[in-house]
Amino acid sequence: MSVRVMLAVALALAAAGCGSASGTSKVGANVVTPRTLNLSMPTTNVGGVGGQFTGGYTPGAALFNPGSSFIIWNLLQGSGLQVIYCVVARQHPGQTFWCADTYVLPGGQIDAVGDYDNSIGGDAGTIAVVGGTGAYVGARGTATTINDDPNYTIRLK
Amino acid sequence: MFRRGGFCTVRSTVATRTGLSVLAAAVVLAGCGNASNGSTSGALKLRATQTSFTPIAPGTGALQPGDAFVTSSNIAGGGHENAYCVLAGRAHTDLCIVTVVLPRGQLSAQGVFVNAPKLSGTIAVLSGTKAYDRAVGSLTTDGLIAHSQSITINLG
Repeated sequence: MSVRVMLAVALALAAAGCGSASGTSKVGANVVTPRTLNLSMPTTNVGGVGGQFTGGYTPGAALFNPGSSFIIWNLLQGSGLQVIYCVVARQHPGQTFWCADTYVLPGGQIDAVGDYDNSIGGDAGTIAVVGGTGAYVGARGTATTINDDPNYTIRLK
Repeated sequence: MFRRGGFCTVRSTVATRTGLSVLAAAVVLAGCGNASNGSTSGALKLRATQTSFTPIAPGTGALQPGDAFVTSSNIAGGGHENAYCVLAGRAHTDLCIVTVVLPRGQLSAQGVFVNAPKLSGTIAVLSGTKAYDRAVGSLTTDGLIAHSQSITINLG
């Protein structure tokens, strides 16, 4: 099972049985060039080799109760690595996950933090880029991932 | 697991040394920023001494992927550092969220270390409070869970 499928399954499990539910902000001397990074997982990614989903703390009997956490890592094309840690915030109303997402790229790290809303009409794929290292110090923008899509888009302001 | 011995060692060390945790350490200042005055540019060179390490895991054995820990250290000259880290299933890979609390404000950092359990390297400073309002930069540590840790924060 691929990692993206595992994540999709994770989000689907979380949803099961639930109701529906300006410019650069950079300060200082470093300036991140506005650009769009298109990242993707290798087509050979398989769980345990190119990526892995791991359940963590689980209150109660169900894995995706509020307070449950999980961490995922994925290899990216071009020697990159994505590590994303999420905590289930709530199931009713809506299914929301708080996540901290770090992309380790050849030029440095890019960090994103935000809420994935798996509800009908919710924003299931875009969170805020809040910083970075190396070429990405002070990065701001958005990071978009779609559950069943191996491609990621990071837009830097 | 690769981290079993390392974490047990750290926990034992902390238990025996917590009462003696006042180590001679200096805040070395460089550039135009410093821990006392606060700034959103410059470099902060800090020395931290670990005061606690707490696993967050369902069992009492070695930490496993998906488990977490929180560690706290005192910073010489005033302040402290807290770090919350989660073990990824990938070997030697932890995602950490770090807060450095200094007399003039807080700094928040996040990133991935790929050399666990040492946890040395550079992660991003995301923002801060008070004197460090809107700060950005990077935080470099020589070992996040070491008993004695050198931290360099480059801002701006």
